[in-house]
Amino acid sequence: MQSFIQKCRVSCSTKGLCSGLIASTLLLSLLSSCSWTQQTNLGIDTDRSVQEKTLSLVFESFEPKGQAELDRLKQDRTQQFCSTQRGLKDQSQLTQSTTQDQLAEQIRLENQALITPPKDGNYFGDFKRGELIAQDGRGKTWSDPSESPSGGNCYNCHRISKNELSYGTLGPSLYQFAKLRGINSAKDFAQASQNSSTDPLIQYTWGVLMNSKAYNVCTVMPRFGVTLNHKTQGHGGPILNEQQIKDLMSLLLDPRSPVNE
Amino acid sequence: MFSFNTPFKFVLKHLGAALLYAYAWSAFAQAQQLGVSTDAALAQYRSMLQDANPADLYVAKGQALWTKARGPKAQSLESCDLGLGPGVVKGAWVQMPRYFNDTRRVQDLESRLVTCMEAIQGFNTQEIIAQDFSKGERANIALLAAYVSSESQGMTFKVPQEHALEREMYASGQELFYMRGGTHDFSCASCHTQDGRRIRLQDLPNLSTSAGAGFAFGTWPAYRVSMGSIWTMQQRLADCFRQQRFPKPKYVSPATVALSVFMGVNASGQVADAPGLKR
Repeated sequence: MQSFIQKCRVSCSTKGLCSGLIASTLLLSLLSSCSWTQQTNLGIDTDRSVQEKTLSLVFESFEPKGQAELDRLKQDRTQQFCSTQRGLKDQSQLTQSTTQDQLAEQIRLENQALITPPKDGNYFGDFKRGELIAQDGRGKTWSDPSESPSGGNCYNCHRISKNELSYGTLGPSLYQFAKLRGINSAKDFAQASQNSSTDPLIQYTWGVLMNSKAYNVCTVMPRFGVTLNHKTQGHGGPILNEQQIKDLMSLLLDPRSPVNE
Repeated sequence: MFSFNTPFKFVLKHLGAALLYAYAWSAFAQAQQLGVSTDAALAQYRSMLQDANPADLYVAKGQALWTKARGPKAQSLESCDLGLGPGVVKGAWVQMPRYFNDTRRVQDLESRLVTCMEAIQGFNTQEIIAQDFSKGERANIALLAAYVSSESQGMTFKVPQEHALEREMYASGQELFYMRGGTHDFSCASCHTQDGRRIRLQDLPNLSTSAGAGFAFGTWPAYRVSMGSIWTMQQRLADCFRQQRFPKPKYVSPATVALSVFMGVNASGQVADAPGLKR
């Protein structure tokens, strides 16, 4: 409770929302039996009364269906913080000068810590399988069978291979991904992949595919290789398994891949 | 518009429409192959379909349903109050969702229709909520929604924010719009806060702007060519949440109404054009 009051003082000084203190304290204690409120006390500055009303409204409005259980509404720290960053603030705009920006950096580092290298040290798979994974938009919805592997949804947001015209534009174009970043030949690729564990492009690409939030904390890109704290995430673990991520690595970086035509 | 009510004409109308879709789709595919920009090809496809929106048929059916005595109490919906007084349909939809004194809740069109169907006709609300979209009374609600929304066509949105609960629902709708969760970290905002973006080839309205909210909120219910049926806003929202990897929103639940308040208020001043025509 002490930390809650402290928290509220911060939000009072920044937003002038002191009047609801008693009411929201009452509300908080009313709701304290339910796990939803535990996540609200993570040091994140929001309009608490609206947030709490919304959480209880959301709680009564959704029902589990298929593999999508109610715990998917429970936000982790990253999700909760990024819900408050409404202007889609880009990583480059963070200054570290404000509490919010420092918190953003802290959460980014937490995400960075979740990235693990491939168990066998090999970062690459098959670019043809990678293309199929990039095309596949299924997985993790309430209508998807929980046991089948998920797709990467990549074309929903990115231009990738030259010949696929049905691509989305929420993310940057990945066409000629490796070519534009200095891998122009089989020789370049062999050289880079021999030093995979230190090569900056390979490390960056692997990292973004595993956990995009380690690079741009509130990016709209999902964290494909990380097991989030959802019970339902247990159905097949992370969105993509390690082999699928290796296949996507090849799709993006292999000079023979249609991406680098 | 209400003349094609014989089975023969019904078939003709649908056949004509089907042929038109096939033609328009092939034209779209051709345009793509010729290197015409995807956006331009899509716009052409849409304009070709606009003249024959099958939603008109659903409007006619919905109007017939509105005046028909139905349900355990064998009553029509003609005394239903959509916010502008009992029986007033014209212009009601562009002022919804709104607060209703009798239910003491903010209700969107579908939620209000369910209230009227229970109070006037004797249908059971919980049964309707438990049904699937496009089945039973839920299918009838889609027809009624098509009719009611059509009676506001060309009018400007003026979703009220006078009652405290209406303002509270806007705030919650906004909060939910930006709420990230699920396995993919998606919020509504992940896809709907930028202009001119697409998922695959599907344009994404920017729901945080008046024009974007007007285009999206103002054209549902809509006939969906890919589904061959009319979808309501409730169904649109439910499928958004499915793709967002969230659990399922209950039919006419407060969260869905709050999102509609958020979109409806953002759409203030925009012109209503429902029922619409969508991919």
